[in-house]
Amino acid sequence: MSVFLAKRFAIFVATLFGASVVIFLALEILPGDPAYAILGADAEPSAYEALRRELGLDRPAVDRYFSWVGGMLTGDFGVSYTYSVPVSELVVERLALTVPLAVIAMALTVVAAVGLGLYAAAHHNTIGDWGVMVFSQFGIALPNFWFGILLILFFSVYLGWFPSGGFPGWSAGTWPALKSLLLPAVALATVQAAILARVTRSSVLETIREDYVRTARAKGLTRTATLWRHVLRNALIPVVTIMGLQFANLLAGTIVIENVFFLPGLGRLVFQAIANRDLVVVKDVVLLLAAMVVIVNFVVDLAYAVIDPRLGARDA
Amino acid sequence: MSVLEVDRLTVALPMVAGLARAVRDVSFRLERGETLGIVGESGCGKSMMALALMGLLPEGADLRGGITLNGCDLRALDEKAMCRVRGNAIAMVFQEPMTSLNPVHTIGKQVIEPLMLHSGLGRDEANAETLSLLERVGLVDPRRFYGAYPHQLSGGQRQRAMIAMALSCHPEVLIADEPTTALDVTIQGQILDLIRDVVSERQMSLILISHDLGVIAETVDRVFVMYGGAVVEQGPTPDVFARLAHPYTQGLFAAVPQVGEGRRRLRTIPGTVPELADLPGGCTFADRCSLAHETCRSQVPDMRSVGENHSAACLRLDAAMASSSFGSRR
Repeated sequence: MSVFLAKRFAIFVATLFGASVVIFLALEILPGDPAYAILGADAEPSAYEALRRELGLDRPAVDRYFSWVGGMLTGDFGVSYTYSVPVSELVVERLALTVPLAVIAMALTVVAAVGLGLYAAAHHNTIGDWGVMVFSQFGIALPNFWFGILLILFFSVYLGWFPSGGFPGWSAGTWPALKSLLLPAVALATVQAAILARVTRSSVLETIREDYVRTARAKGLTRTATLWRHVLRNALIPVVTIMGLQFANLLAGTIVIENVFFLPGLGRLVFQAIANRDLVVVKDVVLLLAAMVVIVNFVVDLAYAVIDPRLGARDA
Repeated sequence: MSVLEVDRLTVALPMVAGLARAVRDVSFRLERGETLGIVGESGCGKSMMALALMGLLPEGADLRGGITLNGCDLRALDEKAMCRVRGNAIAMVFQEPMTSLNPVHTIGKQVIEPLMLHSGLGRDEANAETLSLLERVGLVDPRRFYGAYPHQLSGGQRQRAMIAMALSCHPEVLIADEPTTALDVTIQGQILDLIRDVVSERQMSLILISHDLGVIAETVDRVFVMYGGAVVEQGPTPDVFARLAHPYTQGLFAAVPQVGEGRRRLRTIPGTVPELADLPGGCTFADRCSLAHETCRSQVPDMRSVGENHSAACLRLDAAMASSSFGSRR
């Protein structure tokens, strides 16, 4: 198990290093000069040069890469060009919105997907099964920003149950804060749950045919008990894999959804930073998003070992 | 009263090719402590019969006839009541110990499960009972096996665990479907000995299904030879092996390679097992039988007596027994 952990940790570090290089290079190559973005296109050449020096943009790229990475390793994330505050402050504030949003969306995804998938598999080839399949097909086809707008129209404008956007902050109380995150989370979760429900269904249907399921029935377990005790855990292995992969999509989705719902989260921060050529913020936040995806996949790997004892044994 | 009575059991399975008649008109009684062997080639309906007795036929299967366990009509039970019978009064050991155990649960958890379901024992008592069961089936150091996962066990050990699971609630009938087929020859004997011992020790009745005549000969009191879903010959094991009556039984016997006969081509029964969805009218074995006459293809043979309690379903029984081209081998 410790070998397994060490291996995964090495992969984690290597992935982050690769991601940092790709992010840095992409921003080097992309057009757009932060000094011009700050001063305007018709700035004085001398003021422009001075600002470039101040921002450190006149130094060679390799230099700047290492001071960026070195700074992050020592906890110095740099200062935002546009907000003139340390990036770490900006990010921590935004994480307080984006992390709960992603967690709620993921939780909704898992509950809906596993529930619907199990139900469909248990009622294979009946109306219930077909219903789940048709709805999940719709769910997959829905663009989440459009679905978000529909949710706003119905639940905020028509019914008035939820705010149509904005975030009061956690200081305003847990319930008001949660309330403003619920619709965006549903918009994010719908597509993911639709895909995952299908994966769950087919995985359960496959597992049901296994010999050990017949053994469980021969012991006297009912159909339902067999499903919960013997089928589900075995069927979860591919489901967890897809869940890990979907997390990256979910984070990408928050960028769009936070803009639809005017939520001051990480996605909205990175979106505005790109528009303002606030390169320090873009680099840091994109790397942070990459780290989150890698961490989630690390957790998924750990989950495998918990779900399937054979894996832990093979690697350790 | 017999422990198990099976009356004209018939199983039909819907297949692409049509309705497969996997089991046809099988009747028998099993007394307490009696052991019955069912022998036949793959696809002759042996396993379907076992699943029918367990009430675990695949969905869409059509089951007819009566199954009475200790005077209780199993066919009349609903699914919930049947769940109380399975693993309790009637238990089963399957063919593939490799895939018949759940890979993500420990052996202990799987063996204790029927106890928790049926016996009414508390956790601690059930734990203790599980450990003693594991020990009884030859898994010495039962505490280690209790916490082990199936992939950490050998095939023989897994089959022992399966047997422990089946024994846990003191079933009256144990069905073993090819329990040794997937195992090494050296292990086969040990597992058969174990089954034989626990069956006699606990006065259980046993239905042993196998394609292996040697396994059947060593283990059971009475033997059924199945072909094309029906019983073609039955009788006490020594009698059947001494006087092979049905041409199919004779062929099956001749196909067993003998040590010390020198190198020769293995004898086979010409042709293949008929499709259960497309059984020939008349005798189902007629197409592969060297003695078959015209009447064999039109008339369904009845069971005819060969000796005391020994009978075979063949229209040309006299010719078969006279020619007995393969002879008896005992």
